[in-house]
Amino acid sequence: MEPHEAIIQPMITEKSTVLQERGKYVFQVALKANKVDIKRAVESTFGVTVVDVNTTSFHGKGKRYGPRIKKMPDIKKAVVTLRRGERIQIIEGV
Amino acid sequence: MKITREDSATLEVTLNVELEPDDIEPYLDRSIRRLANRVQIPGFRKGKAPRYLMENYIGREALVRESLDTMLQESLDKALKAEDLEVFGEPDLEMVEVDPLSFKAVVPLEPIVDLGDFRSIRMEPEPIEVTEEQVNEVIERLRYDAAPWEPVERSVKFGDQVTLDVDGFIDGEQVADDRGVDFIPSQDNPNPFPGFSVHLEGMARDESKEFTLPVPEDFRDDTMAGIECRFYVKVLEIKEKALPELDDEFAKGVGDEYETFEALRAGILENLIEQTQNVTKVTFQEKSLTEVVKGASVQVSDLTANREIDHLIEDHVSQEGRQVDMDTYLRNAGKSLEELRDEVRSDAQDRMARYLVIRKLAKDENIEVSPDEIDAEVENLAVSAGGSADSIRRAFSTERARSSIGSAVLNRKVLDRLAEIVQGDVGADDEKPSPEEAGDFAEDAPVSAVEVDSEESEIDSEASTPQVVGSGQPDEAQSDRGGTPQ
Repeated sequence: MEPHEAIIQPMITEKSTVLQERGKYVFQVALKANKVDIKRAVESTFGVTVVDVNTTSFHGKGKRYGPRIKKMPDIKKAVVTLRRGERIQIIEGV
Repeated sequence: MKITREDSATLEVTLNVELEPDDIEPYLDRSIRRLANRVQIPGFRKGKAPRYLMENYIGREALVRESLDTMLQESLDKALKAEDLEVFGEPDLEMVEVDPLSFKAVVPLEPIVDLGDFRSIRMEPEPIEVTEEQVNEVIERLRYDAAPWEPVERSVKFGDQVTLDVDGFIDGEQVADDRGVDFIPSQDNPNPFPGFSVHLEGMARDESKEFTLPVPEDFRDDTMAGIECRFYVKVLEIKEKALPELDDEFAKGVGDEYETFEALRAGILENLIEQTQNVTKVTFQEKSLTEVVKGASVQVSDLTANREIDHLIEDHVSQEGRQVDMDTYLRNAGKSLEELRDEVRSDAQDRMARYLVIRKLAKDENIEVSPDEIDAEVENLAVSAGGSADSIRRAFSTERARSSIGSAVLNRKVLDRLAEIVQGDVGADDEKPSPEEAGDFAEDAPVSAVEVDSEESEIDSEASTPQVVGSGQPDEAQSDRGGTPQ
């Protein structure tokens, strides 16, 4: 899988900002991407070394709009651990 | 901070101030902290998002606006300090741009006050006079107040107290149904309707009478005006004042401290003299001040003058009561705002001149008010308030209230001093201001001092209509905290 296909967007939440301090970055990734895809994608896109990738998939919930039920999209999330001391400036903003 | 200064008009300086990022930063920091708990950013609990995210999310302009007021005020203070200006009153602020943040401030400068040759003014207060009649008048009033109502067997005269049953009908509908009301008929008693009393005169006890009166045109419910009202009146009882003998007994009844009638008389005389003294003192001080104001030349900036006019108009409007706002006031008066402003202009100038003259006098004569004096004054007020003493003390514990009391005390001290000067009781020479002090303004602003002459005659001629003793700036609360004893 090509790098740009694997990573969809960084997830910026309270939890993810806390994790950033420990060199872990959270991304929303393609459902079909595996850990190897993600590792390659992050390394080539941000120029860093990935030590570990943990993934988890969310099953989108049904949400009612009046009589209809719509399904929220399924999401796959990846927590990427970088080599100690490395950072991704773009995501951290500052 | 970049400041450019323009001397726009007489005694006015316009400052154009542009703030640099370093100046703004601490304020932005503050507004972020203030807003943090109100802004919901997705993915974060309130107040938990990192600063850079909030900054992006809220937007820089919103942040600037949030703390704009304090920012402008504080930078203005800094700018004024940097430019070393003697400011008189609040400058007018105007935002020019948000990014880079810049504003314009029109700063009114300290007015130029020249008291003229006020030391050569000589006046004497009116002699104090209390006549026998005035004393007698007071005694008669006391006598009337002390007299009980005694029932009498004769027909009603004006000044009696009659007990009545009254039924009133308008168009067959009962509007009055009073049993046993006390009423004091007199020639000009307009209640309930004019002429009511006249019908009562000459009635005997237990007599009934029926008469018709028109409802007057200016009755509070004007739908009833002009309609005939039919009255049925029955006199139940007639009483007159039993005036007591003017003897020692009577004197004791007036006050425990009076043992004999002569003591009462002397006491009244003393009171009257004291009252007259106070009145004379105030009018004399007032006259002296007017005289000084006449001889003085005062020049203020247009901004200050216009503000004084606005204050005065606001005062007028607020005197009309709470419901009346500016628009209704103008409509009632049938004037435009401009006409009204023109009308009060000379009053405003006069008020300003008086305030400034007192200020200048205080400065020249080195009259100051110490915190102790303010404490004493508050204590005075508290004691004279009696039961509510504590609440008075509490009310005057704030900085603002204290300063307003302070300015009232200062006014009084200045006027006292002025009265002494005018009566030729100048005291030792060393109390006179040193020449440097007196020439302060001439040195500071030699250029504008020349321009003064053209305008001072105008102010002079209009400054001769006094109204209030020691009229200060309206917000200095001389008037609205009227309870200050003289």
